[in-house]
Amino acid sequence: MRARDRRAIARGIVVVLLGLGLLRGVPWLTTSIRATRERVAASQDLLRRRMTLWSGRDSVESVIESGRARLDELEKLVMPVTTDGDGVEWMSDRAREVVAAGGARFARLEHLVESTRGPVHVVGLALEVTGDESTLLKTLEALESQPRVSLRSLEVGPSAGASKDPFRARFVFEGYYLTAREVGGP
Amino acid sequence: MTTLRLTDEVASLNGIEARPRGGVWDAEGLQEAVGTLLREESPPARLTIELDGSVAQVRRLSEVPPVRGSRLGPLLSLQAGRLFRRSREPLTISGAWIDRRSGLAIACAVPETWLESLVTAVAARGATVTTIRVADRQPSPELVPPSLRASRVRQARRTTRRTMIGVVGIWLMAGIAYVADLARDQRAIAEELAAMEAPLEELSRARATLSRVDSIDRGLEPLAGDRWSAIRTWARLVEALPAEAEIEVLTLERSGRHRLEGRAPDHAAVLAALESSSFFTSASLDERAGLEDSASGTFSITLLEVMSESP
Repeated sequence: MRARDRRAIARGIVVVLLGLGLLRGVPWLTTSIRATRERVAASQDLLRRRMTLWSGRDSVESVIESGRARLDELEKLVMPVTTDGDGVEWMSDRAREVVAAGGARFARLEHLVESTRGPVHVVGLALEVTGDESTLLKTLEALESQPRVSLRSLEVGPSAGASKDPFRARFVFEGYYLTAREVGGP
Repeated sequence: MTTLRLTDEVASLNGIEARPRGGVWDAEGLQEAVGTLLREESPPARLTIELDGSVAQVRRLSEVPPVRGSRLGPLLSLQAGRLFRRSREPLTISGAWIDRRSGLAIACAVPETWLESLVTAVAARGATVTTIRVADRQPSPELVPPSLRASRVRQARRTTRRTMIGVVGIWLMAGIAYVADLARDQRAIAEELAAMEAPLEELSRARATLSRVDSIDRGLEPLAGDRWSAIRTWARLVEALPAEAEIEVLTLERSGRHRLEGRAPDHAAVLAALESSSFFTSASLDERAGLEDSASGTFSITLLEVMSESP
């Protein structure tokens, strides 16, 4: 093999290697650059959106402040309990207070099925009392004056059986509480 | 451009002449003459040499195959023995087309060693030969000795290589600059995003708080604002009902849908009285209850309360 042949072989190898490099390297390089460019564009877009959000932080902060103030107000409307059992107990105490304040005769107290309104848990009780028109109205007034209790329905009718009182009333009322997790909040 | 003219008897440059010793231009004689001519004047950097027909063999040819101009010289070289006088030395042969279509060309030949001596003599004086051609011929083929041809090929390769390196370098630098710019942008953006992470986290928490407040607010709707009052509704009913109507069972609901059971001599009057009240709408006898009895006057009425003031 002459030097010229060896040179030709060496050049051939170099050309093949260069060709391989071009065929493999250029697409890889192109893909990498495109991916990087897309990544940069996406990052720029994200940054732009965040900057927009960030630029409105003053108004957001004022909204948050009003939200916190509203939360403080709302916390005054819920029962100071975090479980259903405590809620029933708290509501039963309020029922006794109401009956005592109105002067009606206690007949029955029934615990209704617990439900929820969004994150708010609802404890429902049905209170049945007997009495005359005046005592029933006083009882109703006492019940409606409770800030953490909402009357769902009222049924008034003639007293049944051997009751001494002319009327019977059934008050279905609700109390609301937030669980410990909801009270803590995010 | 300075031109050195050479005939078989004299060499002249800018009007100065030199003649060969012994009447023949041998290698030594050429070098001596060129040395003399270039010494007389300030030696030019570039020199054109024109050879007289007495020095170069010049042939006018016909029926030459129409090859490209650059291939004409090598083609004529293949037929040197037929076209030119036989010589013991190799010849430098060149050609140029007079009319390629009709196959007319001009060919010339000079002994290679003689031409090399001429170029070497010029180069020894620090000048460069740009062209060697036959004088007073149009077209005039350019005679290029092998050393000059090799030098030109080397020069052309060098130029090509440098151009390639330059172009590749420029593209490479542009690519590197582009990628570096991208990387710098990406780094800057990443830094800005990282710097905004904590405040945005705070904003995100705040948004969650607002959402929670909103959902709690909706959950506590019955307690918020102007709450529905059963006493108020009861009072409105008593006010709206005619005096002769007697209520036995009263059911009031927070939803605003109420029910009355009682007795009255004229049911229509009761309904009309309720509907004429601005607090109630859509009062209707509940026929399904089966309490309507004209004789005894019992009725069952379902009515809706206008709840605009209530939550």
